[in-house]
Amino acid sequence: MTDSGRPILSVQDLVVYRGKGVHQGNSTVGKDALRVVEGVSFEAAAGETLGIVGESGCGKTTLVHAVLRLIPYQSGQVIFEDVDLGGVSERKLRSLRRDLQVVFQDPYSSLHPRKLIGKILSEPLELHTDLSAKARERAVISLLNDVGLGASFAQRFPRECSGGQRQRVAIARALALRPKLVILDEPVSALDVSIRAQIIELLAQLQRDRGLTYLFISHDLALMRSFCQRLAVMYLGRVVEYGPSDVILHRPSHPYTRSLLASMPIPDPEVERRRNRIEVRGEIPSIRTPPSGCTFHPRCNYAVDRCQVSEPMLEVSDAGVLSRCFFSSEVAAQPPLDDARSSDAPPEPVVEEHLFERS
Amino acid sequence: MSGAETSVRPASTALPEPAPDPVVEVADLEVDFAVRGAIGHAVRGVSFQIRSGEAVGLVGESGSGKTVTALSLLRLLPDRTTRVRARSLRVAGVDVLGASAASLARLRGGAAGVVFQDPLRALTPTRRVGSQIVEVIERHSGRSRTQARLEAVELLSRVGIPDARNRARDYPHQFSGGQRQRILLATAVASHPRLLIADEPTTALDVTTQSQILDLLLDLQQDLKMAVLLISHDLGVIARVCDRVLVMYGGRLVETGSTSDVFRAPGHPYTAGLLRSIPRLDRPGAVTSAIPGEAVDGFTQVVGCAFVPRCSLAAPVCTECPELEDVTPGHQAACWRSELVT
Repeated sequence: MTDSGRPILSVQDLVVYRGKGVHQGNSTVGKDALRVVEGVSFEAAAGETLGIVGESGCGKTTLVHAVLRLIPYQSGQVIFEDVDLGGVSERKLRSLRRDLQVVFQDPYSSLHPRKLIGKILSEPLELHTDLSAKARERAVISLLNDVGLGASFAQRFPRECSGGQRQRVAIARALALRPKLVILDEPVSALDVSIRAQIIELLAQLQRDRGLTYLFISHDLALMRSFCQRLAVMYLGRVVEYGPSDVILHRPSHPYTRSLLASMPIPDPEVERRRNRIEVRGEIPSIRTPPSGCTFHPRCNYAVDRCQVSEPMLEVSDAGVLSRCFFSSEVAAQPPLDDARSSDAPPEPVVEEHLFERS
Repeated sequence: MSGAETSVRPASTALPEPAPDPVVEVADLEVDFAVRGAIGHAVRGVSFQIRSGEAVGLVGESGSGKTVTALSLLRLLPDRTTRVRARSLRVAGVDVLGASAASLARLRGGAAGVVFQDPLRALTPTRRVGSQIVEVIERHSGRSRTQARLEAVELLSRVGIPDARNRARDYPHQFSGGQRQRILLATAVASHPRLLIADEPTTALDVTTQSQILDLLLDLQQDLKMAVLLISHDLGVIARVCDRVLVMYGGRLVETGSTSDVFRAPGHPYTAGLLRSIPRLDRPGAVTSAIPGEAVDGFTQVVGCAFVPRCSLAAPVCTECPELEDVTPGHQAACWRSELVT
């Protein structure tokens, strides 16, 4: 694991309930409340990008909201720069939030439609700093330049901008208070394919220039492999695999990660034709009725009786990552994307090997 | 267009058989639309054919005209605000522009099925899913109610709804997103259509569900020998499903060919740029690079090639609009400098 810096954000055994009877500042919940995040732990080192991947209902949005303390959490810790966010006052929290910003998926709904972009960008400065009006104006122009838009955009409304431009504005707003950590919640999913790479390049540039730490939420594993140093794979509120992204996405140690990888189509018809498919059975169960034992067992090709009754712990696999699976070593030992049991065509080991080999 | 003369089926299935009539035949399609007094051009002269059993992908950014093109095939655009013209627009033998309301109604949901991105909006929320399928079968096959009911249950089970006989009595909201898309597929193919139009059918779904739905789509296509027009922004999805691909930019077709040819050796700088901008799971560490700038919309006055402002190969000749020309047989690109595209 990367030990390049001390963790700027450390989440330990976080448990979050949602629904009826869940109130801020109250650790007890009603009996109808749902346990949406179930003992999640991870760390993000200063300057690195930690990816969180999972499908709908895996709890990643709730996790983000809890880390930002927009919603309460019931147990565990969120430690940001050595301060436990759970114990701080609203007042202290406000100042901490300057260092902790977020960019949402949809730049069409995250920007006020009737405010000039100049106003949108200077508002955080008005609220959190004592800069003069002149100084704020200069700061706004410099922000606009930093995100590649230019000063003229200060006089435009969001509706006069394309999706890509709006997302640049949302990024500029997140950076206005010079935060240390930025949560990127699917920041390119709503954009056209040709614009996505532009925004990713911008985010990478800003990270280099400002030493930012990113918490990057996405379902695009190919993007995560190149953009994130560390990865947490979530399924039904739990982290099922955690470690360096290039290891996890090359040699996954959890059957769910393997199915995600096998499900991602590759933009190359020749490769797609040769690929062996792992059939992923069924759908994600409801968090209201989570399966017993390992919650992935009803969909898992490796599941045995034991998986229905006892839940595996996160343990180090042979690939050197944490995996919540009794068979993590067997999974890690599989050749990349080759699963003979579910493939009707005979496996082509040579082709499959090269498929996920590092170039 | 001459591209349709080349066989694009994989070699293993290329049996000598007479070329079937194209299921879709579009020549010089133009679609204009009016918004607040201004006239925009969504589609500016598009021609293509789709033959039966062929899966064709339609790729392009939002505003490129891909959805408008697909909707025009069934005249699903509002007559009041849009004007559709074409030298020829035939779907399953029906002259779509000259057809009566009755024959259009027979075509829609009959010889041509449609699947959209959001199945919750496409299915009637207040009707049991079984009866929605029964209705399609009755209308287009003339089967008795009892027979149609049996077929509907069979079809639900065919698309992977467990316990189909009982679930046919449930309403759309009682199903998950993936199951609703399965049900929508069942509704779309209930009339044994010759053409299935699928507009971003898996975009709202999770990747594991997407994978299942794409497999189902391919199975249904094989079983029913349907032509499929798949609209997607995801080049991976197109690579997996389609034999041939149409790339649109600024309302025009800029590249067409077999998916293998187009993805391996693109002939248009836009296609090449798109492929270079996507990180690939099987190529970690490979450098990706963005296409600079933004796409044009239908209101932009375009002189010559619409891609010029974003193109690294642009030259003085590009102020004249290039036509589709052969890069290799069956693979065409609308670019003056396609031999320089890498």
